[in-house]
Amino acid sequence: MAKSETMVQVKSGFRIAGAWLLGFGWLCLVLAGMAVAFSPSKYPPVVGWLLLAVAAIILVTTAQRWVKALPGLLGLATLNALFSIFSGHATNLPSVPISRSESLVATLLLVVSTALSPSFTVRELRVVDRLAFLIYASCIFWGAVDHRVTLPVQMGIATFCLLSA
Amino acid sequence: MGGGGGLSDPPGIPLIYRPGGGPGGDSSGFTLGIRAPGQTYKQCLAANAHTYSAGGAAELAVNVATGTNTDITSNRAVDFFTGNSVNSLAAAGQAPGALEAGVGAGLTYGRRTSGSIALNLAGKGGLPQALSSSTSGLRSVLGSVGNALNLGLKASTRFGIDLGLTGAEAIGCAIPRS
Repeated sequence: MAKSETMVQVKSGFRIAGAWLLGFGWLCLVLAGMAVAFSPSKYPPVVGWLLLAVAAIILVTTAQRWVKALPGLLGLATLNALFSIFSGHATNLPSVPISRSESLVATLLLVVSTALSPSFTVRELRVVDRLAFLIYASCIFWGAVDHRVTLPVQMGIATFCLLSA
Repeated sequence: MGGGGGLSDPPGIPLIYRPGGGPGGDSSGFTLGIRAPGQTYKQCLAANAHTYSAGGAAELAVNVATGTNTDITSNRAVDFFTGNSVNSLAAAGQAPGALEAGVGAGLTYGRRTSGSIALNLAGKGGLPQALSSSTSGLRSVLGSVGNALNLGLKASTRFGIDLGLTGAEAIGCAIPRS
């Protein structure tokens, strides 16, 4: 009896670790796509766009699975943003300053996103919900390739998408 | 304007270990240590904190694999999601679940049928609590705060990743780069 419970826990642990590794792999896919599409590399930019398209398809089609982790991810992002209000710089990056007003706005928008996110975990996701997640993720990465985009604009559009869904 | 990130090296981040060279990198051979000569342990931890985050590690792997030299995860919005929470929370001195644990359970005393603490006295009434029953509301609120911080995801699972990366960084910084 105890042995079977142990096995269940071991399997659960492997399942959780595997899920996080898959998430890490997805992040690598996005970063590789952006790196190839937007910066000089040995691959043509179309390969980068292809990788980004694959990442987008994975994000949309598997949303029902990973949405359970969304509140936690947003919650920790909120904590990181909250910390940046006091530190005045990005998480782990003292060389990247953030003004108090910007980090405050970002924190508030992330709080709203976090508050909205549990509602997605208890219902069957519609196409609109999945598209909202895609736009949300796109907004987060948008600022990395377009320096004109400000943090509040990024977070504002992202949050508005979740709010609309 | 919306910078803080982009597809180029951010200015002013010295001594980030980059395989194959770069600022502070050592292209001459493999080494486990990441602490540069003359660098203190704390300086090493601060300089490499971003590299030892989920985003930083993923980007380093991607850059090595694709031969690019990007800095996407230094963008502030991306960094909120992929940054190492353990480092930031350690500085803030907070941890989910700590709030509720700090309040503890209400202790009973006196009168009858108190199972947790003796000194049973004759008389009417139930079990008076050292922490009045009104604090159960407080505990409930704090419990909700703790749950909100956990947000349906075991904090230990998410923090475990960052904790592991922080541990790896601590070990790496303990070994000087030759």
